[in-house]
Amino acid sequence: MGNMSDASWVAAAGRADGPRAEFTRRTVLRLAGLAGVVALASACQAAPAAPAPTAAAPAAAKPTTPPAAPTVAPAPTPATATAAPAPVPTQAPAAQAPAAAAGTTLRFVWLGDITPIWHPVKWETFSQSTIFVNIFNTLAKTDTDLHTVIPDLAERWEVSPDAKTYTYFLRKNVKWHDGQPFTGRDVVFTFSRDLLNPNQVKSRFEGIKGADDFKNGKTDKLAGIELVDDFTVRISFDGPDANFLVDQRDQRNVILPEHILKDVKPDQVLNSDFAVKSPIGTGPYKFVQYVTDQFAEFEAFPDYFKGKPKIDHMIMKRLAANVAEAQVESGEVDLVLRLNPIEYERLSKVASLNLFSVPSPGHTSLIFNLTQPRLQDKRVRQAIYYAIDRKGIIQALFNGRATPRNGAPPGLDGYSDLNPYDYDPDKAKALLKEANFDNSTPLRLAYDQTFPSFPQIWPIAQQQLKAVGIEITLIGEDSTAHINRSQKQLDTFDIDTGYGGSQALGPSESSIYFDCKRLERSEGYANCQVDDLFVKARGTGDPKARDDIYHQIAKILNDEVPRPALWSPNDLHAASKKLGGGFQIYPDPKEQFTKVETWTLAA
Amino acid sequence: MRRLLISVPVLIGITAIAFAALSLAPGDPITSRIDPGLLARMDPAQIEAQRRELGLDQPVPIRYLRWLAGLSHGQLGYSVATRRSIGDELALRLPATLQLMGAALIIGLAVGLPFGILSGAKQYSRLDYGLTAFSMALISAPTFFVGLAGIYVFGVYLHLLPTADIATFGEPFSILDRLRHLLLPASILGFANAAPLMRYTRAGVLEVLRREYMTTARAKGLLPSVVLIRHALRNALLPIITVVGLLLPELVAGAVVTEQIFAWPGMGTLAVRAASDRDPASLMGVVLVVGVGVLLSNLLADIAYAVADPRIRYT
Repeated sequence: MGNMSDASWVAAAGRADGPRAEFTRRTVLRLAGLAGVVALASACQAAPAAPAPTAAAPAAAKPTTPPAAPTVAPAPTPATATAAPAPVPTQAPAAQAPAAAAGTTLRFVWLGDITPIWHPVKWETFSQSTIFVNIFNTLAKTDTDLHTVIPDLAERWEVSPDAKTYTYFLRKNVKWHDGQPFTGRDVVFTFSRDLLNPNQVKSRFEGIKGADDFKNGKTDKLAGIELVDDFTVRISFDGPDANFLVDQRDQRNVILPEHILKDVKPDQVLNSDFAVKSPIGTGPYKFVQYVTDQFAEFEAFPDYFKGKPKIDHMIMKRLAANVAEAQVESGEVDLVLRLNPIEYERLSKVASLNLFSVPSPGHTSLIFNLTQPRLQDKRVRQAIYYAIDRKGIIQALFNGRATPRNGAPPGLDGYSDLNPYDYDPDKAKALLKEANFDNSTPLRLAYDQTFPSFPQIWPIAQQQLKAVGIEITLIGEDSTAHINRSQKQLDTFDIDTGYGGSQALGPSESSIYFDCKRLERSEGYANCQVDDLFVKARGTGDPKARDDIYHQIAKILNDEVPRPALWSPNDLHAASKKLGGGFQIYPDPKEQFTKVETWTLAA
Repeated sequence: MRRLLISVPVLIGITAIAFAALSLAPGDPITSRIDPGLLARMDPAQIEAQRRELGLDQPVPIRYLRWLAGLSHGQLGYSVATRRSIGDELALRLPATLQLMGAALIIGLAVGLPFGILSGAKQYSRLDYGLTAFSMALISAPTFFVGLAGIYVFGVYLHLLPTADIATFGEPFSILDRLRHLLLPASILGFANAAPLMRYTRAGVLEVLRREYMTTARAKGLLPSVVLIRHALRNALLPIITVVGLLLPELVAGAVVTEQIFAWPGMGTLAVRAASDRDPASLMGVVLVVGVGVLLSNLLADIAYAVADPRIRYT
C-alpha cells in the first residue's frame, strides 16, 4: 500500500523539490538581509545551506535516476521490509559531486540515552554500541541470522572438541586509526586488562585459565592467553565455554589498542583521554568529536581493512522522538532507528522514506513477583497468561506488526512441543478456581508509563483480566521510579512489566534473569534446577547435547511461566531513499552499522 | 546593596527546597541509567560502590550540607550521568540558553511593546480587536503545541526552516545557519511572551490616556504622536517594567519546554534530563543558575524603576 510505483514517486519528488529549493533560497536571502550580512558573504553561506545553484538540475535529473549499486540487497532477514527498497536505479551523483566538495555526510538518529564514555569499561547504553560498532572491531561478529559467526579482526578460528581452547588467526593488514599496526598483542592486552578494570560489569573472561591469580595480582601474566605468534592468539579455559565464540560479537568485547592504553592504570580508564575524548579503534570510522546533547561526529578511515567507507562523514544526532520524526520527514536526517511503531501508518505516506518494520530481539513481558504468596501458585500465573488476548492486542495496537511469544523466554521458545497459551478465558477461570484464587484484594500491576504504547496496553489487559475475575490496580510511573520499585520495593506490587532485553539473540541470553540465590534479580522465582541447566549448557561442547539442555529449560519455564513474554513488537526504522549500496536492516539494531563501509548516500 | 544581601538567603532557600523535592522523588540515579539486561548482570556490591563514589549513600540533609560546602568553594559536584563536573556541564549549555532567551526577549519586546501601544491608542478599532484576539490565542495555547505546530508548518510542510537543533551539524560554522535555526524557537518563545506584554502595555496606555495631564498635553496642541510617546508611554512604563521583570522567570520556564521540543542543547534540556535521571548535582546546578538569574532580573527591574521614575529612590 505504501508502495507507490516508482514513476509516481519520482514525479512527486520532482515536484516537491522545485519549490522547496526556491523557498529555501528565498528565506536564506531574506535572512541574509535581515542580518545585514554583506552580499558576498551571504552568497558563500547560502551555497552549503541550499543546493540552490543546481536546483533545476536535480529536479530534472532525478527521474532518470541512479544506477549506482545494484541497490539494497533486499533485506536478507525475516525483515519484512515493507516499503521494499524497490531497486530504484539511483542516478550517479556525478553532476552534483563537485558542488559537495566536502563529501557525503550521513545523518542518523539513535533514540535513547547515551553515556559519553568511549571505552567498553562503562558500556551501559545502546547508543554507545552504535558508536562502538563504527569505531572498533571485535574478533568476530554474527551474521544477520544472529548466530552464524563471521570473521572480523580474526580471519578464522579453531575450537578444540572439548570447547576449552580457542585459537584465533588474526588479519595481518589491520591498522589502528593512528596508523600503528594491529597485532595479537592488542588482543592479549584487551582480554587481560578487562579482568583488572574495577568498573567492568562482570568480565566475560573470568573463566579463562589463571584468571583468579591474575586478578589478585599473584602473577602479571594471564596463563590462559597465549600469543602463539604475532597474529595467532590461543585462549584456554578451565572448563568448556560453548558460547565464547558467539559472545565475541558483543560490543563490550571490542579490541583496544595496547600502545595507547598500556600506560593508563586500570582504575583511571574512565577518566582517560581515550574514554572521554579521543578513542582510537580499527573500525570503519574515526571518532572526531562528541558535543554534549547534540551529536557525535565521525570521519571515514581511509585505511580500513575492509575498504574505505563510501560515505565520508557521519553525524549521529541525539533527538527526542518527536523531533526525530519531523527531521526524517523533512529530510534533515537520513536514518532513524527505533521509532515508535505506532507511527508506521503516518510515516508510510512520506514518499522520500523507506520504512522497515523488523521483528525485534526485544519483547514486552509480564514478570510475576513471586515474593507475593498469591503468585507462587503456577496455576494463577498460567491463568493470567491465558486471560490476556495477545493476538487481539497485537492486532488492535500494532496493526499486526508484532510476534506473539509463548511462556518460554524468547530465544528458547522455538521448540514445537511448547504450550502456546492461546487466548482462553474459560481455561483461565477453571485454573483460578482450581487454585482457589483469593480475589479479596486487587493485584497490583506496575509499569513504566513513559514507554511508548504501555499506557494503552495495560488498561486493555486490566479489562481482559477483569473478565475472568481478577481485579487489577495499575501503577504507572516514570522509568526511574518504576525501576526503583521493581528492584527495591518488592512488597508494593504483584506483577511487574517490562520491555527490552536481548534474550531473543540466543538461548543463553536469558540465563542472567535466573538466579535462585539472588531473589531480587529474579523477582522471587527460585528454581536452582534452571540455573544449573544454563551452566551445564554453557559447558557442553556438543551442539546437539547443548540444544537438548536448552529444550529442557524451555519446557520448565514454559510450564511455570515466571516471566512470560507477551510479544515482540517490530522495531520501526526509517531510512531515506538516498541510502543505498550495501545498506540493509539488521534484526539486532545494535549491529545495524556492521557493514557500514559498503553503504552509499546519493546526493 | 542591602537587596543583594537579602538575595543570598532567598537563594539558599530555593536550593534547599529543590534538593528536598528531588531527593523525595522515587527512584535511584544509579540504576535508572543502566540497561536492565546489564543491570541484572551487575553485582549489588558494584552498584553500592558506584553509589558511594558519588556520595549518594549519605542521608539527604548531609548530602545537602555537603553540596553547600562544595558550593562555597566553587565546587558543584559531578553528574551521575556523564561523570563530568557540573561546572563544565553548565558552561556548555549556558550560551545556548542565553542565545535563545535573549533572542526571545528581543522579539517579545519588539512585538509586544509597539503593538500594545498601538492597540491601546486605537482602542476598539479593528486593529485592536485583531491584536487582542491574536494575543489571547497565544496566551491560551501551550508553548509545546505552538512549537510542534511551528515545526510541522515551517519545517516539515513548507521546508522554510530547519525543524530543530542549534545548527546544521557537520557543516562549518555559519552565522546564517545559526540564525536560521534560532528563528523558529526564538519566535515561538518570543511571541508567547509578547502576548501578555501586549495586554499589559495596552492596559497601561489606556489608563494613562484617561489622565488629566494627557488632556492638557493635547490641549496644548502637541502632535498626537508626541503626546503618545513622550507623555503616555513614559508613565505607562512602570507597570510594564514589572511585567518584563516577571516575564524573565517565565521565559526560563518556557525555555525548558521550547528547548525540549527543538532539541536545543541548553539548560532546559539539561534540567529535564537531570530530573528524569534523578541526577542531583546536575539539577542543583540548573536550579542555582536559574535562581541567580531570576534574582538578578528582579534587581534589574528595581533599578529600571528608578530610571523610569525619578521619584523612586533606593537607599
